[in-house]
Amino acid sequence: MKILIDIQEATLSLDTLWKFLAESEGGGIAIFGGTTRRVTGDRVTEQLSYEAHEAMARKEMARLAKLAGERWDVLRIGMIHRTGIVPVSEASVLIGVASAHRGPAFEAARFLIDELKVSVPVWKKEHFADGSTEWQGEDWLR
Amino acid sequence: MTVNIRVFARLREQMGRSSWNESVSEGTTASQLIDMLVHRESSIRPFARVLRVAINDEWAQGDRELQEGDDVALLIPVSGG
Repeated sequence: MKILIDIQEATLSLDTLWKFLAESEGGGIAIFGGTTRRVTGDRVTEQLSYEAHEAMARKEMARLAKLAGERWDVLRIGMIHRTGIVPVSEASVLIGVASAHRGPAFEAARFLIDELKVSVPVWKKEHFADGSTEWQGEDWLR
Repeated sequence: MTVNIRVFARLREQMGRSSWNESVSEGTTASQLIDMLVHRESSIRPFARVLRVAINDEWAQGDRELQEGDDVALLIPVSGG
């Protein structure tokens, strides 16, 4: 199994990920993209910004990809996270899985994004339209 | 011995710095380091019950003993994706 891991400030390229996955010559590719949402509840977001412990985040994403490769019959896995500013509608993360048949691709992609949100050291800050900012994922503080 | 400590995102803003060297005695564990920092640094006290450490870019358990030159990241729950 081949793995592509990256963390970058530049806009995420679906083409690059697709090319990597399609080279597997399997029968199915599942891609999940996490994007900046405009409205959450009654609050309007202008952009998100992301900060990572980059070396660890790369290692942790690679660990998750290897784990998924052990659990599902997949051919290639790509995980790319963006850091810095991510405006509304743009992608902060792309997770792609190629496999011989669609089932493992969907299941492994779901596993990877769920686990990324638990163990990969990246933090998200919301920048609201009213000018205020707020680090996300801090329900435990309240 | 000396370890390097790094903080990110909310913790970095809260502490007003991103890394520093810390002198610790031989045998100090990750948990003991957290306890010492929480006791000394009032800015991170609200985060005390959720703080975890990663040593040399990997999650570490609280009973892990620190080694000279370790890169110790002090982390709060992540929120990427």
